[in-house]
Amino acid sequence: MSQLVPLPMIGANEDSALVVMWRKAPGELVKRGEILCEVETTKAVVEIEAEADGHLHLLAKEGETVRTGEPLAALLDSPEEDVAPLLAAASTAKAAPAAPVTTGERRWTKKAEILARRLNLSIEQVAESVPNGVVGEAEVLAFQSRQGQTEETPQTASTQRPGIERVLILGGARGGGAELILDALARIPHQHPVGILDRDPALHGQLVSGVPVLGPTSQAEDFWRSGQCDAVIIAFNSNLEERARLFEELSGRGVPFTNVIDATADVRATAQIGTGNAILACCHIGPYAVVGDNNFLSTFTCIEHHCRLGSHCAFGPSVAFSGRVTVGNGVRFGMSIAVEPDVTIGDNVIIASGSVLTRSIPSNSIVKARIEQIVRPR
Amino acid sequence: MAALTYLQSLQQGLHRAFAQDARVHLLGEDVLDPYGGAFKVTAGLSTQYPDRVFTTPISEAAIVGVSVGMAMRDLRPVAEIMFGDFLTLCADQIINHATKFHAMYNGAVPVPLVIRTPVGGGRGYGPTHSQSLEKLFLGVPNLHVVAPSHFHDPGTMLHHAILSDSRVVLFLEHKLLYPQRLVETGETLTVRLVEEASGYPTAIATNYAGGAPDVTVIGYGGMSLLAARAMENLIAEEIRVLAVFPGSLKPLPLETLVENAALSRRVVLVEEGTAGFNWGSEVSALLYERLWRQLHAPIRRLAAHDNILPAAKEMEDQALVTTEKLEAALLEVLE
Repeated sequence: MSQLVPLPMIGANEDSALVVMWRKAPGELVKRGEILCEVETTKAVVEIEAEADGHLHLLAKEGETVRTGEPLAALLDSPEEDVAPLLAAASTAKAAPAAPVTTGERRWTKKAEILARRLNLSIEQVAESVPNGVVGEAEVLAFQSRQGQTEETPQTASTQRPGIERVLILGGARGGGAELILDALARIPHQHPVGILDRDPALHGQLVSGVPVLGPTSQAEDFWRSGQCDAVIIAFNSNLEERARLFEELSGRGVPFTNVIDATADVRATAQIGTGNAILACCHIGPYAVVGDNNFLSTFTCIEHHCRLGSHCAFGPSVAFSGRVTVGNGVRFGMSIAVEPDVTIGDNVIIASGSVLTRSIPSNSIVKARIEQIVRPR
Repeated sequence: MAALTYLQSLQQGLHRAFAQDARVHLLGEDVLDPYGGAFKVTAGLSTQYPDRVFTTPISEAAIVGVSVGMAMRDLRPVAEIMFGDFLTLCADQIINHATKFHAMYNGAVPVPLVIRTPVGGGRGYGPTHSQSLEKLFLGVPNLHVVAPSHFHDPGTMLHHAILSDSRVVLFLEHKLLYPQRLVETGETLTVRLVEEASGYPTAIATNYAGGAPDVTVIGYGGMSLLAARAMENLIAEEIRVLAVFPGSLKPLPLETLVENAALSRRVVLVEEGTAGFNWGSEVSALLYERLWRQLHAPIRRLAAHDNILPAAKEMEDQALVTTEKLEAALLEVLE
């Protein structure tokens, strides 16, 4: 088969060579292994041999400089054969274009993909909204602004969106707990409230802070199973036994709970927090503190370093634990309570406002504070 | 008219310096015509200036040592070291002699010496003919380290080093750049030069027109080849890349680097030498000082593996920074 004879790479430092002398005449039938010509590099004279049989067709004259990879000659099947197709084939092979950047399934630029991720959008969804062509930065931004407009209209049932957790609130519609959680959610970009379930039928269909009360708490599992929310949280704390029962029942059926942690709360990096906890404004969870599940921490609750808090507890504002305090389950704290270091509090305890706990409290106790106020005319 | 190649620009820069000032001399191995040097930078020079181009025995210490003497006696010598790997043999002359005299004699004995050398891999030359050893010299006081990219005009920089820089200049030329045409503003890339106090401009290249960049890549020398390819590839991906290539590695044009890093707040540093304790270490430390809390992402540093460079092409690619690795890093800092 006819073929070209390219100048081989003679040395790592040589890009070209000079044709010194042809040893064969044009048109001559040469055999494989015979010397065709001599070429000279900057360092040596080298013989070029035929790698196949064929009729020699010269492509470089004596005294000419040829670059590595360029043809010195062709070895043709017949002396009359046209060499042009061989040369054309060689040059098209060299000019084969690099694969285009956007290939295969991907219909968007990498910039669009990165931008969509930053905006918590699904690039596939953006691409679906653009019938044809490549989806770029502009299309992602346009999609984002369309979404922004729909967000402002009140939502009843929410559709799933990547990066956003849709939270269903259980109870607290009348007592105010739901409003506190909605207030915290308003400042949390990755959690959106989708509705409230409350046992009071009078509230169904009403709005609480602009969020609808959709039905009784008994429907929580249905809402989750039908994909209308991603997680739930309990907002009432009037009855801690009921709070614990609802949590255990729903989590037992696989309904996921979530924490709602106010943007101003400070949870240190080494603290551990379970799930279903409401942690309101200005709370502090110190280093190495461990918080269980389903607790309701009002504003300014301070769970200091190395404390261990159980589950299903409720706190009034400004309860402060010092370090290494241990608390069981179902404990209700009033407000402005101080707990000294290393104190242990059992399960099912009620502690009155203003108490200062200097020693441990056994389970099923009530702690009353003896605070006397004398009010007299000025 | 097509742009000059990097090699042609250097050849012309040398010829201009020789024509302009009779004090300019050149010493090196195999630099005479017809060979004209291993990479042909001195081609034609000895024919035109037979008394001012000297071919030397194989002793890099002697080449630089003699050049130091010439510079002290008011000549303008250019020493060619055939491969940058052999700079280790010149280290004593550079560190303990050439760069010390100016300060030791209170400015009375300047040493205006240029040491030119080809550096870099990508050609399969193996562990001792492929290195970029500049990091070994960046810590030498009073040594200027210069490395033109193909965004620069290397001939003009060489001319400046020979005739206008009174310090010892280590002038690094990347082997892969020699056959490359210099990049001029065209359809895909825009290139401009920022004048610097050192006299060696910083080249700024972009793959977009107008608007702010998404990411700033800072590098030098042969890394411009990778940067240019990555920038061209990323146009279709809408990634706006700003490339900043100082001509002078030391002194460092810090203000230009800070200003351009702040435009995107996302920075990739790329160099061909081995990773760690290198140019990028210093540059990233300085950028962090100046841009504390302003960066959107940690600075990403790219360099070769901290090991020898193999000769086999595929293994060499694994060890060195490649266009693909640079592209991946540029996208990574955007996430």
